[in-house]
Amino acid sequence: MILVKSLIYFFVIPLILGLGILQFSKKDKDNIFMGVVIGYIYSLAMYELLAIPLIFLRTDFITLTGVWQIVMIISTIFAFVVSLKNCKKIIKDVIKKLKNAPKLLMLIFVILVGMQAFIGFSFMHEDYDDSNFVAKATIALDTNTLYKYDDKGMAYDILPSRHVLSPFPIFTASTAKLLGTHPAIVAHTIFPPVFIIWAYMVYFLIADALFKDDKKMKYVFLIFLSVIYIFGAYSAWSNFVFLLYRSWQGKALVANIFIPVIWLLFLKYLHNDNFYWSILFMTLWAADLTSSMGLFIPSLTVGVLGVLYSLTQKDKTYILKTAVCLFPSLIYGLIYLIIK
Amino acid sequence: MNFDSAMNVIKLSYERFVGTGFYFGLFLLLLVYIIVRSRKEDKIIKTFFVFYPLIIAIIIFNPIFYYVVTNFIDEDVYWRSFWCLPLGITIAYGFTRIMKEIKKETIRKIEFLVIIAIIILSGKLIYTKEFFSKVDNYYKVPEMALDIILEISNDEEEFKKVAGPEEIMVYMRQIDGNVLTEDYRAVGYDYSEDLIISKIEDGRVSVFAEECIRAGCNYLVIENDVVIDAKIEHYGYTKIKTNDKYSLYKMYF
Repeated sequence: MILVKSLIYFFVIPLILGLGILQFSKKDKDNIFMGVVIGYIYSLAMYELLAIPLIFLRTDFITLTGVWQIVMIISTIFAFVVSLKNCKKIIKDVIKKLKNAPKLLMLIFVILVGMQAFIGFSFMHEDYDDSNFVAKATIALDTNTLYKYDDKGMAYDILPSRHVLSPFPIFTASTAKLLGTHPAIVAHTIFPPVFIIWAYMVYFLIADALFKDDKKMKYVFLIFLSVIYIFGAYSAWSNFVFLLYRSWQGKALVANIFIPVIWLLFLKYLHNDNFYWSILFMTLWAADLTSSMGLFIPSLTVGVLGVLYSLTQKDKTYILKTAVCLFPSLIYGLIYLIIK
Repeated sequence: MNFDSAMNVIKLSYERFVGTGFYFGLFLLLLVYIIVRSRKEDKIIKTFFVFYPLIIAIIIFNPIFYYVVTNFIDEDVYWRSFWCLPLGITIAYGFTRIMKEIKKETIRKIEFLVIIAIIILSGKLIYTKEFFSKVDNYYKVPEMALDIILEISNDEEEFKKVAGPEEIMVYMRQIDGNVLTEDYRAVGYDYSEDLIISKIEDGRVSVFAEECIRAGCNYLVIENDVVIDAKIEHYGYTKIKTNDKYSLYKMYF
């Protein structure tokens, strides 16, 4: 039952949401991977948008989860209606891509990603930071509170400024509530394969951007990248280890999903379709949910790329668009400085 | 603003990020290769692989940026700024570009295997016992610790507060948010000797038992291998469970 719920929650719903959103774009309307990626980003951005005011209003965990669930249901219905007419085209696109893909290289890539996801699902990595992150998720669900108690069970005098603007543990708890399972199970068993696959979907799209019609080189790139990840334990602080053995911690998503999404958008989509600037805006908002690092590392990436591309593309509007995208992080940064 | 202190933190952060240095070496080499071959790249790709990493490096090695950013994050985590550098995809892209230059299929296949070997030899395998272990539960908590934690969680007391060794304390509230724990926070990886956990791990029953009672800990967990200096039962605790690693005691207040 959990498996079915997880498939719906982590694949079907993001896919519907993402494809619905993509109908407003000029390109890649039927791209399944782009759909799933955007669907996840939308879900997390919406959670951040709802969570911060509800936390500051000292509402409870069930209220936040319920409101988010209602918003997701309405969004999914709307997205389904909007994308329904393109259903046949989407399926045809998938079949065409599978037929034209270089089979052996694709198989090697799928095996490498599958192996990483399977190990993330099956094996344990102990990280004592979880006494903070996962404990906060369990506390929220067990006590029906939002940042009322610390990880030893003592009541906070004031809201913890460092964590409250990036309530990813609470998102973990909401996910557990909706799936009908325990937050530790969501964090340690369900999130790892989901986030690993999500990350490689983003890299698949990056490969598409870099190698365009050269299908063989696209898969060669992806295979190299997979091996780079698998052998990335040369440092306990590399982004590679964070995806493969600490993927349930929000900072792992910043390094391995949100920053690559930002790279993807600048490599392919932002230069001839203004729609994708709204995706970039949403990406930064979603990144703010996951970690305090999500406030500044993606912003730095966007800021630098925005300025660089405004110069190389000779388009001053990039500066204004970049500034607008940085707006959520700026607001959260200011709130953090005030409540610190 | 202390320039030396900032540069020390930036240097330490850099060292943490590059680790053994081989991947970073590959990144720099392939970056140079991409720059040299960039006449063939389109402007968008060239901007990303040539200018972006250079500007990011200039920013994150800058002590002024360090001082701005450490208003928002601890200096201990400044190394995460280096995640802005496109290490993985530059290595993968650079190697793929090199392969693309070769037209003969046989040589390409050999080159593919050589590149894989280079990546493997430059890195370190994540999937080892150092980083992963097998457990038979989906919580991904060590079995013996989970056994004790669930015993406490399922017990019918309304108020529950636990003192125990590190492994129990770290996982207790990950499993049950209604159970309080005694302070176990380490400072610089060493526990203060004042903390109860320190005394529990040393087996100093004569010292920690009364402190636990004063702290209101009605559950006490001791590791079976630890040599204790007195019987816990003498202080009013009753043993309610034991497994291969831990013994659980309860105080009926």
